[in-house]
Amino acid sequence: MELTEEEKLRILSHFLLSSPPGEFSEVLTDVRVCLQDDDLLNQAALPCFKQFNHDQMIEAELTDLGYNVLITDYGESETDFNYYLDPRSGKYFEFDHLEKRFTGNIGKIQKSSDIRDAIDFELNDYCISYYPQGTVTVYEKPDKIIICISAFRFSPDNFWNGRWRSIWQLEGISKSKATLNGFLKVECHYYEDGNVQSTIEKQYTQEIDMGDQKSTATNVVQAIKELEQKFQQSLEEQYQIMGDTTFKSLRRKLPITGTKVEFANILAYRVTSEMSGDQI
Amino acid sequence: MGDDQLDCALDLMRRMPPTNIEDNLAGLIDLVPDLTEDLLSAVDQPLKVSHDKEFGRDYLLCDYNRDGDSYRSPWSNKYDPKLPDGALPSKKLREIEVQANEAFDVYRDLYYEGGVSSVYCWDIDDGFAACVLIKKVGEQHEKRPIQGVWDSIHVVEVNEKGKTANYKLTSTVMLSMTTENKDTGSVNLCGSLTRQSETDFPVTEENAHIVNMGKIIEDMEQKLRNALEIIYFGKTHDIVNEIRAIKGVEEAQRRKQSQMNIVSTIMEDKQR
Repeated sequence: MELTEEEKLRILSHFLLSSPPGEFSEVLTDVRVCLQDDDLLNQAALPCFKQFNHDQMIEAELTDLGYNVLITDYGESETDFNYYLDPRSGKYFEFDHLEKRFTGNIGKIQKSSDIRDAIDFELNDYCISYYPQGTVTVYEKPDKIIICISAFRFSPDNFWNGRWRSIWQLEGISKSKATLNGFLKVECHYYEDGNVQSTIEKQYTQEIDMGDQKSTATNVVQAIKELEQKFQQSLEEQYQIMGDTTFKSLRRKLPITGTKVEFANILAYRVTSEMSGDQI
Repeated sequence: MGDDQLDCALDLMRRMPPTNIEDNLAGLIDLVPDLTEDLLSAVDQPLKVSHDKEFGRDYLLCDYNRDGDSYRSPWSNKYDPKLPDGALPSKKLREIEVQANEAFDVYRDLYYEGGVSSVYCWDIDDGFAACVLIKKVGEQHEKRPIQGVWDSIHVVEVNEKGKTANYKLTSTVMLSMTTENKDTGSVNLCGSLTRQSETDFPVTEENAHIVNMGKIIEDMEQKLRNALEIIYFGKTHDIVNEIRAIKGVEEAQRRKQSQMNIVSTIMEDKQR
């Protein structure tokens, strides 16, 4: 039974959007060869390029300015198609989702506030210190600061890729205490002679004391640093526990006898124990 | 073009999230119906458990004991739902199958201390093929709410050449571990590793095929278990540490530099 075009588009989009970090174009090639219908694939792929870039919060270089900015839902212009805000320069830039680079066209201007700049400055320092290939972008919305961190390591020659994303929303910044809501997601893919993927997701809520710009920025960045540090340490412990307990109880390294199974004797052994009524 | 298509379909399955194999495979088959048979035999899916009422024992379902929509039990040798003309192994091969099921049942008990195993055999030119399946679902504790599922799928092709036989083994272990924890949130480690081996063995002794298959499968599971342990609990965690330097980038770079200094000192020392 032939699928309708709509059903095919749904499956294609599902595959493309399920691509592991850094592997969108490989998945695109795979589905292109499988499907053998470029018109239909292009129809499915175009919106997926953008969706995937947003989901992954990919970074793009602003070559004239000499730094990276993230491509996110929060930075997308509401009026101009495919224009994204660089909150540091306060300018919108047109982004090419297929080429993953800015076109050079500049759009509107949005002024940045001092509190945003202060947090951005502190946070960038943190990001440089802890993420070898990380980018941070700090947005300002009404009574709210949204901090996006995205970091990756791609090593396709060694069959692995991974990305870390965290989104920290500081809400109620006009009050004396603001709420910091965090979402953290790490995805890793290892695929030499197999396909192993790890996905870790964690949410946070914490109160932050608001003071002058400098102390607020310090408080926010300190909180994020502590939570992310704690997360990574706990993850190490969790992996250790999983390996030492659950994994070991699934399959022993050796039978309880400490020796390998004697298959030559196994059938005789079975017969003997069945006759004597022992449970094996 | 067909080969390219199959290669790309298999590459796609190696990239899609392993938590969703069944849905992804079904979607792929819907897109490329010509590859249905190839994909069903080449892509391993999590094993399902069924119950043989006549023998009161569980058995495992896979593509190798399937005929149409029915699955054959290794214990009663009957299909469920009933299939009067369902494919069966030859009488001689069924004897091997019965013994192999007995042997791997003991093996499973010794290594897994629980779980379900099934062996299915089918005739091929110059010999036979067998598929050895083991599934174990880990017990969850209140204090340690980690869910673990292990599926072993071993396919052996046996080519008889007089007094020796050639054993070609393809083994996959699928392992999934998930947990929910207040410090790390939801952790999902899921996937599979596949390895192959090929060996010649004499087949003069009684039960030689079962002894030989047992030996290569035991060795292979050992290797796969080691690899799984390294990749699941070491490698995926190393990747996280590559993305975020827990001690800070400067510290990481300083340590790298100090390692390089040590290496160059040792090298100089050796040259002297």
